[in-house]
Parts: sequence; C-alpha cells; structure tokens
Amino acid sequence: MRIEYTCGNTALSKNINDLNLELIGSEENEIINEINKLRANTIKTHDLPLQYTIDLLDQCGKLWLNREYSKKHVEILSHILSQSKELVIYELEHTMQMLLKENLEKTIKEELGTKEVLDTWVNTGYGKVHRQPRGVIFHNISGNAFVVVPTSISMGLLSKNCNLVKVSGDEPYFAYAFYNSLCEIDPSIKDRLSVIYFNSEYSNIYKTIVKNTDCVIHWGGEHSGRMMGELCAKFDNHLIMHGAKISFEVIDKINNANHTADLIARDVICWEQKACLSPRIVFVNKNLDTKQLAQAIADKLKEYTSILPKAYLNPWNSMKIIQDRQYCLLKYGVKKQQNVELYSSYNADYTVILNDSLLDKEDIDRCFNRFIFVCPYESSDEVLEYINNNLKSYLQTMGYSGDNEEFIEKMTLLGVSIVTKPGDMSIHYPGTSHDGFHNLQEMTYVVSRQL
Amino acid sequence: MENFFEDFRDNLLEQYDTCPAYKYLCDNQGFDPNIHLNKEEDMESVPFIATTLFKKSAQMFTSLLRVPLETIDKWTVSSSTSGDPSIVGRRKCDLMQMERFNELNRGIFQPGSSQECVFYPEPEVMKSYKSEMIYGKRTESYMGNLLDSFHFNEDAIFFVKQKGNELMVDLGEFKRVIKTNDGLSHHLSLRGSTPLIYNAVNELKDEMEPVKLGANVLVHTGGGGWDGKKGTITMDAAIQRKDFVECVSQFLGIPEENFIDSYSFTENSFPITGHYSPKYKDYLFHIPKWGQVIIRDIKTLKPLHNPGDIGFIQMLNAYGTSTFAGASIIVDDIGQIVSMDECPDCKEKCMTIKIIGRVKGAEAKGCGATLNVEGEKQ
Repeated sequence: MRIEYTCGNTALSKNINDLNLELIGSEENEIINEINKLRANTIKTHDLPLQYTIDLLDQCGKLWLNREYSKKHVEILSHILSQSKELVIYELEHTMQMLLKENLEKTIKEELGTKEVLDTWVNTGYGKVHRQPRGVIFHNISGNAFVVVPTSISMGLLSKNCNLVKVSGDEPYFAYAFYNSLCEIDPSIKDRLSVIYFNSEYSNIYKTIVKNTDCVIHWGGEHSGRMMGELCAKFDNHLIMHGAKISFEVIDKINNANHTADLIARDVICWEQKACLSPRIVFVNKNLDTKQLAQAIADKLKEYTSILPKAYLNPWNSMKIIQDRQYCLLKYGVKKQQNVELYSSYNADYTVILNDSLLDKEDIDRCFNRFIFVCPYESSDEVLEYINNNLKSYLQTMGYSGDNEEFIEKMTLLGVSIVTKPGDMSIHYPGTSHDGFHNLQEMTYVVSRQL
Repeated sequence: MENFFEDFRDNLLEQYDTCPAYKYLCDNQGFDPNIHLNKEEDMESVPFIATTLFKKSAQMFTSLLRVPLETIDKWTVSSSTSGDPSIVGRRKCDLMQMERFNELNRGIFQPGSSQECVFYPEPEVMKSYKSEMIYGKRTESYMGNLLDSFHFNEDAIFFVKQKGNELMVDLGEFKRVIKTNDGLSHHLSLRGSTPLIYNAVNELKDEMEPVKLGANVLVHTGGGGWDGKKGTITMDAAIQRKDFVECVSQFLGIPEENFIDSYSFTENSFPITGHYSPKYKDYLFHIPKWGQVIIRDIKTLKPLHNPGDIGFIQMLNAYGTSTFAGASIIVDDIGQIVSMDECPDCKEKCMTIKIIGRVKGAEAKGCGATLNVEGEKQ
C-alpha cells in the first residue's frame, strides 16, 4: 500500500507484520517549502472562527464513528498495531468521542475558561485577555497509541495554529487516514495542516524543522524526547513534552474484588499497555485478599480475551510473553526465593504475577501485552518510596481505589499528574490536564490589554 | 538409544528431580512427570524452557544446572549476535553424546572425504575464542565443541584464521583450493558457516570464472546465520536458502542435491539435518529417531500436526542434557511441518520440517516509557 503524505517524493518500503507499505517521505527542502506554505497561512488561520474548526472536528469524529466508514481503516490499523479489530474499534470509538462538539467545547472551557478567548478579547478585572496562536507547530507523533494523533491535531487546530505533523515509522498510517478524512470534509484544511514522513535517522531534518517552527509538541520515546529538548533549547523553540511515561494502579480499599478486577483488566487491555496511561503494576494493600484479587484480575483478563482478543500477527508478541513469564517466575521464585504466584493463560493471552515483594525496576519493561505485576504493600509509604526511587521521572496516571487524601497529595507532589478511578485510566475526560498542563494553554500565548 | 520415549521420560524425571528451577516451572503448570508422563502422547504436555533463560543477562544459567556447579567441565556459549550469549553448563559425558550423534549421521555427513574444507576456524581456536572464566569454569564456543566432535581429517583446511582478536577468512586459500580441484570431481566436503561461504563465493565471483568441482562434493552448512547475522558477521539482508544454493551451486559447479544444512542451538543437544530439495527450493530437515520436535501454534501454543502448519520449535532431548535442563526447550525460531511421517522428497520415513527463521520484533517506541535499566548500568 502506497501512503502519500502532504509532500514528498522519496519512497521508502516498510514491512509491518507482513503488510507492505510504501511510505512517500520528504526531503529537507520539501519540508522547508511546506513550513513556508503553512507560515504564509498563519493570519488566515487565525482569522477563522473557532466554531468553524469545532464543527469540522465534530463532523470528522462522527465520520469515524460510522463503522462502515472506519471499517477499512480498522483492518489496516489492526494489522500494523498487531491488535485485534475488536480492540482497535474499542479504542477508536473512545478516541473519536473526544472530537464531538460537546466534548471539544468542554475541553476548551476547562482549559481556557471560555471559548471566546480564542476568537476575541474577553473582559477581565484588569482589562481584556485574548489567546493568540504560536504560529507553526511541529507535532512529533509516536507510534504506540493512535489516540495521540487526533489529540495533538485537534488541539493544534483549535488553538488556531498551523500544523506540521510527522508520523512515526512504527505506525505510519493513522495520521494519514485522519488527515484525509479532514480533507474530505474541508479541503481547505490543507492550508493549516500538513502530514509528513521522513526517516528519523536524519537528525538534520529535525534541526531544520525546530529552527523554522514556533512550537514543538513531542509524543514519544525518551531518546527522541531528549533530542527534541536539546534542539528546542538551542533554537529557543517552545516545547510541549509528552511521553516516556509509566502509569500504575494503587488499590488501597475496595468494595468488591471482582468489580475492581474488572476495571483493572480494562485498563490493562487498552492499548495493550503501550500507552503512557497504561498500568504496568498494581500495588495492593496487604490487608486485602491479594490472592483473590490477582486471581480475579486473571479471570477478567481471560473473560475479555473473547471480547477484546489479542491479534497474534507477530510471533514475537507471543514468544516474548512466554520468555518473560518464565524469566520472572524463576527469577523471583527460584533465584530470589520469594513468594510468587502466577495466574496466566497457557499461551500468551494474559499474565498476572503476584509477588510478595516489589518488583525490580528492569522488569517494568516486560509489562506490555497484558502482562502485569500485582505487588502487595504494607503501608502506603512503601509505595511512595518505591515510586520515588524508581519511577519519579516517568510518572503520569495513577488508577486509585481508596480514600487516603494524604497519599494522593503526596503522589501528585511526587509527579503523578492524573489520578483516576480504576477502569478510567484510558479515559481522558474533557479538560483533564495532560502530563501536568493543558495543551491549549501551551499552544497559545495569553495576551493582555490594559487600554 | 533404543526407545526414545522411555529414555526421554527417564531424562525428564531426572531433570525434574535434580533441577529445582525446572521442577518449579512444572509445579506451576501442575505437571508432575511421575504422574503425567506415561505415554508418547503425553510428551506434548511436557513443560518447556525458553532458550532466553540461558542468556547471560538473565543470570539464570547456574539455576538451570542439574548437577553441582563444581562438577561441570565447561560453559558452552553461543556465538551471540546480540552480545548476550547463552551459557550452558556441560560435562564430558554430554559432549561425547554430540560425537555419538555425529556418528549416527555418518551416512549424511560423509566424514573422511579426501579433502575437507571448513569455513570455521580450527576447533581449538574456535573453542578458546573469547573464552573467559565464569564461576571458575572456562567458557568455550558451542560451535567449537561441535566442530571438535566432528574429528576432521588431519589435512582438513580451515579457511578462518585468528589474527589477534579477529577471525579472518583466508579467501586466497579458498580460491587456491577450488582452482586446484576444478574439473577433477574429487571427493571434497565444503563445510561451515552459511554467511561466510556465501560472502566468499560472492567475492570470488567478481574476480574469477566459475569452476566445476563436480558431483562428489558435499556442501554442509551449519550454525545458522541465514538471517544474515552470525556472531560479529552482519550482512545487509537475510540469505534466502534458494539463493544461497543456486549461487554456490552455479559458481562452484556442485549439484544442488549435494547441499545439506544442520540446525541446532546451544541449549539443545541433537542436531537435525536437512537436505536441499530443488523441487521444494528449501532444505527439508529430517527429525531423527533419537530426538523429537514439536511445532507449536503461535497463538495457542498447542502442538500442530498437519503439513503446512507453522509454529514455534520445541525440541525434546532424551540424550546429552544430563548437566543442564535441556530435556524440553522452546526456541524463538519458527518451523513448518512438511510431513509428520515421510520426507516427500527422499521418502525417508521421518517427520520432516522446514526452518523458517528467527522470531523478530520490538515494541513500538512511544509515550509509554521503557526504562532500559541495563543501559543505565553501563
């Protein structure tokens, strides 16, 4: 399948899970031309009423929520992501709900106070306030969870910026398809949105882009994030950093083990734990029946296997789980002589490891594709200490069941930026902060008038 | 080696009794070989150990011994393309079993050809290459030990020479040998590493005309490398078996039917050997009666039994694993069943498979962090 982005003439073949893709990538000069085109449209973009963009995104969301329309995209995404179609549909529909008018309006109101502030000057105690776009924003998109694409693009459009979006080689399809659907509704979107691809190894292109744009929003891995940070610092470009995060759940009090297990299982399944908001560890108060809960989580994961199955398009996904499962079992159970209980399928469908001590940091990297550690704790300070020692710089979402306000306060002080109920970790309510800030705020300047 | 099932059962029972790590795995799966391993069909339920558990980085190789550490003779190590070799403790008795397997394969391997040409270093060089001491025992390349078990003729020519810390192919010597034997139909065997042979032939193609070594030459590859990687050798792309055979066959003037390939790995004991079939354009590997292979479904992990079925390769060893927990091993290679009972090409009565290749993959880089703790330590 040939994927032609907004610009570019350089074909690059890629095989993802036996799907042959021909990505038409861009050279540096083509990208400069694209940035110049976007820059020439910044005033025009600024002058578009916000409602126009809200209506456009709303129509686009509805288009994707039509299963007939999204069917072929679901099939392709399922293949590229090695996720079952059922899971892709589940994720896609949650993602597209976010674009519906009522949700966009709530988001803007929560983030910026009023919708009007993006269109005009709004009265304040000191005079008037207005939100102005930064200009041309570069979106560096990751390939692990496609929710990032509409999130980043919609925020860029709502904030009246012009947007240059670079897709990931790991998942080069969804941004392209989403862009095309916007073009179907309004071809003039091309004036303020470009989707491109280039080989990430050409770091000079990144340098050129950062030098010639006004803001960078980065979603992705630690290495690329560090590189973008250095470039933005060098060229004094505003950086909105999302990425390289780890999330977890803390179960301090529960009413019903089965119900809680059901919610945890849903959190684990979404994005096959590859998103920043996916739980990798479930910390459970030792006063609870930890064995019962671990077993219940496994039972629920088994139950969901028939509703939201795994795809198994890549043998590695299967083999890696088997290897990691055996490794962890023997490492903790035999080498470290700890009390380990394994609740898993025979195959790689799901793995729940209940360990009587907290896991080694290195094993957090194994927690993908329905592989989770359940770690009992004596006191909440034990969890705090573990998080502080191991995950402080990676914190994002904490699924929490309990009523210890002091603990929530301490965890958020440590760096947790979203606290949700179990089962809600992947649900971003309109207006919820993201990694400690609001994207619409970051993508705009607050300008004041004291006339 | 009369009754594979009985011998496998004995081996597994002993492994269960002597290797606490394996017993732990079995107990976890509710499998007790004393109770559950009574008939041949039960072998499909025997828990397996993943080869990655033997990796140096896993630090589990001592826990996978069946004998006290001080009684092992050496650590056999893999060639480690990834820089993380497998480490398997072995004693002389297990190494001698490798020789017995070679003896059993005499008809296929044709030792004692008038001239043996080997694309590996001499066994002693290979064994001691990058050797180190671990827990007071010497590491030796598993491939070196395999070569050692081969008992090459005294005048065998080894084209790979050690220079300092590097292993170099003596292309000039290879050129001399093939020129000398051109058109003579001598009994030769050309053995060794696939990528090395392939590279050497491709290099010579640019500087000389093809030769005709004739129908009395055996080309015996082994040690993998089909994915284009072997130890420190990295090629641009994987080597297609058909391309390799056609290229070498045409340039050296050797019939395609004279090509064989042996497959095994450090954590395993018995090799399987495949003969190239021009009809199937692939090597067809025969499973000997002294070993058993199970192909497991990638999704369900259930054993597969039909021609064409593709899955993970599990190898059951009845012999040669008395030092380590190698009785039942699953490897991250994919195989395809050709026939469960007869090689369709040569009609030998045995299970026949194709080796598809190594499982590859990596997590998509994204906003979910990987901590790379090993990297931090360096």
